[in-house]
Amino acid sequence: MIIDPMFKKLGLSFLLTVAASLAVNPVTAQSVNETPGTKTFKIFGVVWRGETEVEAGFQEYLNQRGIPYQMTIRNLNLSTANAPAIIEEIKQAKPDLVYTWGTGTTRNIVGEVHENDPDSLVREIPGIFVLVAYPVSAGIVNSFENTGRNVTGVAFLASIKSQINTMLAYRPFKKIAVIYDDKSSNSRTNVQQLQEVVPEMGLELLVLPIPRNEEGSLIPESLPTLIQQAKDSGADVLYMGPDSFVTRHGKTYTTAAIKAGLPTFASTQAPLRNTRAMFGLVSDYHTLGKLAAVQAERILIDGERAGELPVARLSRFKLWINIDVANELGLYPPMDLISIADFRNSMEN
Amino acid sequence: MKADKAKQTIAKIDSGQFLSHQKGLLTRLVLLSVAVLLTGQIAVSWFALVGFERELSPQLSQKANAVGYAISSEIAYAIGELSIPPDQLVGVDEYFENYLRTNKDIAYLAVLKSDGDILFVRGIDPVIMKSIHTELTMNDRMESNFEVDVEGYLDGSFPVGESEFGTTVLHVGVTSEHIRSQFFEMIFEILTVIAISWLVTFEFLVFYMRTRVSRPINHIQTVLAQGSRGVFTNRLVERSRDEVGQLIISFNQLVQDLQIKYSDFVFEVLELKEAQIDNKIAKKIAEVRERFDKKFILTGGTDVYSQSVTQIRVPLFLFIFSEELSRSFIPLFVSKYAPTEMFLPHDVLIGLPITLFMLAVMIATPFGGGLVDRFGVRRVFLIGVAAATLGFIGNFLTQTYIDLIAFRVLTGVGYSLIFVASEGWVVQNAEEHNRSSSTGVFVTAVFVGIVCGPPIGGMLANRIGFEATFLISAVLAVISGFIVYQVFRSYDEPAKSARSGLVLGRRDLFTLIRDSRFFAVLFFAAIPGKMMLAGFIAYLVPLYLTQLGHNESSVGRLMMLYGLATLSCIFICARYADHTQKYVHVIFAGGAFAGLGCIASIFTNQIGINDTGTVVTAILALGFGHALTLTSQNALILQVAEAHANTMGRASVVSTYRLFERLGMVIGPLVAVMLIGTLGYRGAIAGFGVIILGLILLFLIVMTFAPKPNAIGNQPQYNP
Repeated sequence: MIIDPMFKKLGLSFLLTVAASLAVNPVTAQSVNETPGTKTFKIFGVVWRGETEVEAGFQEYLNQRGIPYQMTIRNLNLSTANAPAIIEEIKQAKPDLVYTWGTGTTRNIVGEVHENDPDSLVREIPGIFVLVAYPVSAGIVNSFENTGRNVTGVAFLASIKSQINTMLAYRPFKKIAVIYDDKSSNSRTNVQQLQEVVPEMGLELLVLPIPRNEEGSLIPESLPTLIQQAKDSGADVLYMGPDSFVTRHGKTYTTAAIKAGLPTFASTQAPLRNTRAMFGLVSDYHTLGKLAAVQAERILIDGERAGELPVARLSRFKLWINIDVANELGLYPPMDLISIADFRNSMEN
Repeated sequence: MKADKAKQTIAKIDSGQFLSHQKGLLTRLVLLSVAVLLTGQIAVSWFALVGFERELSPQLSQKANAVGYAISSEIAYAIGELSIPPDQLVGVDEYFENYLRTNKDIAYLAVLKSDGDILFVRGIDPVIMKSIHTELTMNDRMESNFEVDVEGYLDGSFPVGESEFGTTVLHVGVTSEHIRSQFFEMIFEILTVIAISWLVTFEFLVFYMRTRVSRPINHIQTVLAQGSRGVFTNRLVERSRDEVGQLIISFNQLVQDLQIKYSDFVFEVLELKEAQIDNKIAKKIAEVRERFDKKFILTGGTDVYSQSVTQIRVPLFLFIFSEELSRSFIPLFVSKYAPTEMFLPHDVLIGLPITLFMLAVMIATPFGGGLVDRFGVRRVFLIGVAAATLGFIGNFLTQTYIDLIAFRVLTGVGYSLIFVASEGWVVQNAEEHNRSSSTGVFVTAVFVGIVCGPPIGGMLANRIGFEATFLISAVLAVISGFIVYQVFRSYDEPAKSARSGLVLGRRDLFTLIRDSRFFAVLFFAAIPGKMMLAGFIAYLVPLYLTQLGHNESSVGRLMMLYGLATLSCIFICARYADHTQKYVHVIFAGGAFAGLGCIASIFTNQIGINDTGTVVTAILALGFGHALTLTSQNALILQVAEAHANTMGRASVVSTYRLFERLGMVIGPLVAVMLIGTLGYRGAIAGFGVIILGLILLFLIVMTFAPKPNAIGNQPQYNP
């Protein structure tokens, strides 16, 4: 076979370019989009367990808009103990904007609204949070409309009502079971909302707190038992809220659920992507990141104060269905959802 | 003496002694123009319909094809990509129902196994579906192009997936019924437009013929007839400069020349007489002159104006037409703006603008009478047009419920002023001998408006929206005002309005109400009649028909039946009632007819009449019923008025009656809301029927036992 030398050359340089770009992006936690002559904004991001699609979407938008910036990202690596060092680094770097991922990260980096500890928290620099389930209950902001401080963000949960409606569009479920960590503020808020909304919609709700051992820590092994208990009390669907313990033990949880013949509905993306939850109404992380970048643009370019920007909401959510789980459970999606849903395979995610 | 003769002249002009000539010309013109119109309209409509049919069928199969591909690709995705077994697809029935609901032209959807077993089917009997499938399989005609005609359907088949069952197939069926119904809808619209264009052409032809041709010619004839008796004093006043106007100018010139020549002649005769020495001859000359003067009147002048009842016909028609344009959709228009949360129920809020419009008409009418007395017909008519036009424009720009109501009320005020002014014109120009044909002019103008407005308005609303239709109403109202401004230019003098005798003291009012005949006509016949107009025709009919799936255009067409029914026989009914003097029985017959027609809605379903047919039955019954009652009620009230003529005056009695009669229109929508709320639409129609039937029975009882006064003439009248 004869290959045109010119073509060979082109193909090689193309491959090299791709390799180079692949090599640069995930390794360095620093992205630069500099234009000489204009001010380059410094953005400091802190994430909880490594970079996600949210940061990718965030930076993609800034690049598209041609905003000159330099973004540094640090990882708490699932431990709040790493916070003080990062806060120190932020104070040294004096960025124009601080970006925080998740409730824990946000509380540990920028703190709650009424805290006033300029030494151990970042208080003066404008902040944007993402992936915070209940920013008001978590004390990060006063309200969505008026945050009450120099911080704003993007909300990522669909309303409880639309979540329940999505479940009902799938099947006329009658009894919903929720298994949760009763000490986590996110979970408590979530369960409270369920307790308000579910009976209003004429459905039953079964609330099962996860038991603790003598030291007071939650017992992951109890999850299958709780799921069987839910099944025995007549629940026909499991609801998985923004609960970090349950999410962390998602594999155990969803495997037990499938075994018990119960579908799991997830309100966040992680249990759908990483474990075998059947379906969920979730926000697309990439879009979420772009929405956060729109907020950032308003602060950096338009000169608006972060505190004057309401917490932004997505208007569209994604109906994620792990079709392999649905087929395994024999709970095929109804025709009306076929054209709307985003079908995935939990084994390939 | 000369003045007396001139007066006679004016009187004779209206006497209709040359009516046969007018009729000849007018009839020929009308026939000719209708024939020309008809030929053109039929030709154009024919081409349009043929084109429509040719274009629609391929478009329909194209659309069905697109729907077929959309559905089949989703099902194929579910079976192929998502590995759902075909027989276990979930929610297919609802999914199909949704498609059938939004695509009226698709008759059925079905999924079958290749051996003909039905998995899912919607919109067709499974047995027929199976036979369609078998027939197609046997003839090897499973195609997706909708060219295969089986069992009266055009079928398209789409394979949706291979599985253990073999090939699964989606069938999409189209029925030609949808094409046919669209075709009929279009034919109806074309026929409506044709019929209305005739009516309008007729109205304008009569208007121009009467005002610009036959009436001036009548004048000339009358004056010429006087000329042949030697009277040459009348000058004709005619503003137009068209051919007839030119003729009149030459005629006036002739009279003027004659008069000048006569005065020359008189002068010469005088000179001749003065020049005579012989007294005998001088006396003879004087005698001759005297004899001449007895035969000819050539000095002095009387201006003869050409004015007639007919002149009001076109402007009044145009205005009623403009107001009636919105008749078919007012409740829908209101419901767009009515707030959902307020201290009143939503249904009441929808009826409220109609009620307040009527209330505005009712309250403004007595004031309008006073205005006509003071400022004359033309000015009051123009003020009315201004108010109504502002109201229409306001409704065009409507933003909120409150401004919607405010501008409707303004239109109502304008409406009442125009009505009072037009009535004043009729009263002012009608002579004793032709009063009934004069009021006929009035009734015709109003009812032609009632017939033409709703269907045209519905068609417009269907195409350009509710708001823009109000703009067209405004334009029509302005044209009507412009005609009055032009044609009535010389008539600004105060006129005696038909309403001038209104103000009744409380004591007189009580006396009147205690008159059992007055009471019975007002409360048992007139008010229920008006209540039906506002509550049934204007409120219930548009809402119910819309709920039954009719568009504005179709609602307007069906509403037109009311006016058509009334117009078709109101004059025959009037003549019959006048002839027999059986007013009470005629009114009873009308009320009972309308009532029974409405009550029929209880059982129309059992005898195979659908919901729309039920509404149509009630509309027609009401239309024919009103043809019977409207004129006879008027005659009865005139009888009552005659009895009270000495104590309160006829006009006051009639005006009081007209004023209170409108209460029916005010309460109509509210009664409708109550009835619909408790009985539903069909029940409400029957409820209305029971109410008017019950009241008309009371009317018959009271009138049978009430003392009978002397008989009096009857004329068709219309009072909104």
